[in-house]
Amino acid sequence: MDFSAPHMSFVISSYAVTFVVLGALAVWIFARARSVTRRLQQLDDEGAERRRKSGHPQA
Amino acid sequence: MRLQSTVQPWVWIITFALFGVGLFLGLARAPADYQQGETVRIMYVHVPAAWSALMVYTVMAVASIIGIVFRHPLADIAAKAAAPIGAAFCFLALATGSLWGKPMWGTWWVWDARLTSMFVLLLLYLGYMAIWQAIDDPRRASRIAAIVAIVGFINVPIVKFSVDWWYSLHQPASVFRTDGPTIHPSILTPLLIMGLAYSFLFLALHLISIRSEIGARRIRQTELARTGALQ
Repeated sequence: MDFSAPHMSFVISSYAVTFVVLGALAVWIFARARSVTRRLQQLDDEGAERRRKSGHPQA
Repeated sequence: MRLQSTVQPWVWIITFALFGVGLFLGLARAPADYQQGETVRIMYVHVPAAWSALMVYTVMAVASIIGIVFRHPLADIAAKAAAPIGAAFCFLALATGSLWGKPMWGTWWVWDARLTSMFVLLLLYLGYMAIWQAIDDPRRASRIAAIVAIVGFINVPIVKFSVDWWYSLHQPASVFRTDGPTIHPSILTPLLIMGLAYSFLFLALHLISIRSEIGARRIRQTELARTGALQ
């Protein structure tokens, strides 16, 4: 690739915008997955605690 | 879920490998075009983004049909999870197309059939996502969103054939043609590899999103049940 060719700023901008948008999309999807997993774990723990207190640990 | 955990790492490995090979061939090996010069390299991120935007919308429409006809619980989850990914691809197709259009056509944007129908596709994605955000009841939201996805699918063939049906500044199809591709293999090969890379990226992100959506619904049900138990 010839970096001194005309219009190279358009080529670089295209790859930059692609990298940023796909990167942001991936980060958002991973962050959401992480927060859902954390909340589910929290609910599971709260449920186990409630069952333990009520004397039904297997329920 | 267990199958997904097994498949997921392999999908990511294939995705990164395809991006690596595609970018290497596209940026380091493929020649500059005799007319477009180095600007032709924008095609390796623009065209796969446009293909993927159409493919993802098709996935959404098929999932919506399955959701409405067979009431499969995973169908509307799959459609909903695909929408933000498709919208990102669609935005990238428009943005990189604009960055290609300025040096090649002398303008960032024209309201011709291909560009306008692609813009309509982005609006359909945004509208679909807005419906899910606006309606609290997931069952009602899934039904309305599915109808929008199915009706909006009419735009997909319009995008594809717009360059044949109307006079357009956009060049006609040069890869998926009945008489075969008109692009030289040195440019076509990295383009197809990048197309595959985008498809695998969609698959990888879609699998995670589906899992998150299933989890989010479990959270909602648990919290609703808890609220009901307290009242």
